Amino acid sequence: MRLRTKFSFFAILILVVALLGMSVILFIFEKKHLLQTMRESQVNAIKGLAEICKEAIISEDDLLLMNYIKVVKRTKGVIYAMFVDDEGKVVVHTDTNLLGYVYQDPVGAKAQNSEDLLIQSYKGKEGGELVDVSFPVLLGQDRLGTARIGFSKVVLNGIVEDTLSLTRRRILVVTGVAFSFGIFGAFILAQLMGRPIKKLTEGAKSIGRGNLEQKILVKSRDELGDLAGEFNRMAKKLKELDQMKDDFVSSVSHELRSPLTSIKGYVDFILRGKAGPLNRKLIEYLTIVKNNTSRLGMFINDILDLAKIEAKRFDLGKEALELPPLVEEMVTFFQPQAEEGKIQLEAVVPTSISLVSADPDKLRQVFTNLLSNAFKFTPEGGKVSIEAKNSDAGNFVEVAVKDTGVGIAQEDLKKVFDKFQQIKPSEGKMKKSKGTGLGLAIVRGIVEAHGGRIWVESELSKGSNFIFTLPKA
Amino acid sequence: MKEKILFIDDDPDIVRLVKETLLDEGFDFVSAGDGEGGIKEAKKSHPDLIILDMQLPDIDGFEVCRRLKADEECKEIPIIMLTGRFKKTSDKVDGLEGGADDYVLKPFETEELLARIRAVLREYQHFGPKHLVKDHLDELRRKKKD
Repeated sequence: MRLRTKFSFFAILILVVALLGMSVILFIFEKKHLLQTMRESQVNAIKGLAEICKEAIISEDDLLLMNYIKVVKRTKGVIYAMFVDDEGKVVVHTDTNLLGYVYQDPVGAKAQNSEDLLIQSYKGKEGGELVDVSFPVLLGQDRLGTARIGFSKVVLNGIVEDTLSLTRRRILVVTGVAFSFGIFGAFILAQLMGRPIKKLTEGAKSIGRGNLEQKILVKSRDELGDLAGEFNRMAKKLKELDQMKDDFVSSVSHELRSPLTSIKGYVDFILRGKAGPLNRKLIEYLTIVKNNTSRLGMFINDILDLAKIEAKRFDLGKEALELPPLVEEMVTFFQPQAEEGKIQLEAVVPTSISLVSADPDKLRQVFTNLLSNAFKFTPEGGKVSIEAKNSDAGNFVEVAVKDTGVGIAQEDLKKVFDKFQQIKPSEGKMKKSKGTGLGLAIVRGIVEAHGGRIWVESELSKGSNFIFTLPKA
Repeated sequence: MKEKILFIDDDPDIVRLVKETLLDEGFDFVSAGDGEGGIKEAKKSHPDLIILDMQLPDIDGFEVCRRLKADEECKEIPIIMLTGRFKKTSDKVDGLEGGADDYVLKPFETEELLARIRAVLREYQHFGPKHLVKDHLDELRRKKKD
């Protein structure tokens, strides 16, 4: 998952959990508060009724009580209100039919016997759930009777429900707004964090590709800014190291080449007889010196080539190139070697072959390396061939250099293109496997720098087939 | 008339190698072991061609080449650069842009060096110094415009 997605995801998750938790808690407290308020108003109502009852008895003002009962009756949720005397007889009731009635049900009995506020839930005669709230009416120590108010539970619940649904709606609106702002904020934050990270990634990628001039422009004064600074320092250091390596390689190669030039030149002088008469042994030994000097020179060139390839600083002078003349040139060049080794050399390149986009010098190097290998590993009477064709798939030309030589073991096939890998041929077959071990690594480097591919098919003692592709021009 | 070659290189073995090769081939030979000495020698002996090593103990070959080409007395003398290092193509370009006429990579075969020397001399005899050819072409272009 991308960092930005992750960040947004977690931010939203936290937001949802927080808002949800807050809403639930808010809702629960609101409900509790509501129920408590309701209970308080019930208690106030019954205490008020009890007080009025007492006053009415003291002042013998029945009208006051009757009026008050009417007011209580009008209160929402009240089903009945009454005052019963200490013997249980109804003195005042919202339902005048019940005047004089004596309550003997358990609820009434309990209410009359209670010394304090009593709240009872019970099922009424009509089946509705009722809440009976009672309070004793006392005058000093004497009990005058009991005040009772009955509330309908359904109506009470309705009131609670109405208020709560309003609360719920409010919470929902607030949560929704908070959520939108939260998501927006998380998105902005992710963007703000994502942009410098993206810049960093792009910069690091560019540095990774070898573009050491790359500066990462993240100016923020946070960890990302520090990281960018570190990257820039690293790139600078790398550039210094790269420069040091370049200087090292070029000075070493120069220091190696100068003495080689001298050795070669003076050996040539002696061989030409400038230093005096020669004998057969002298010529033989000096020829060995000369050949090894050439090999050393080749090795230095190979190492420099490879260093350039690996540093991806390989200059390709690409042009639209005709393959047939170049292949013809290579055949001519290797003909003497073929004759010397009694090896048949042939080239099969159809005239319909497409132009390729390639650097002719580098392509010559590819052919030279592959053909030298082919000759090196092919015994007398064998055959070396170059074949080229337009690839079936894509815009490529496929070139193959085949031999009927010793071949490569299956387990070695992958390693042949690695540098300093020289496959030891099975004993006795090869006497001249002297090379730098860099040839095929260079070949692969050149082919890949052209955008092509190279691979090898081979079977032990049957021969090898090196195939590479080049893009069409 | 014998053509005179000035060889500027700090490796005495190579100087001697080239000296003997060139003398055998019938050239006149003078040499210098560093850049300043090379420039002095060029002014003194007016060679027909200069072979210049890239790496010299005092100033590098590019600089020597630039100074020679900026000098009134020496600017028409062809120069072959002798080098073991072309890190980048741009080095090669710098060398040739700096006024060098050709270059030979170390380690060189004496035959190759001889061939390059003859080719450059032949070119000069036929066409004159490069910058003169260029001046001439510029002149022609200007006339065409008018």
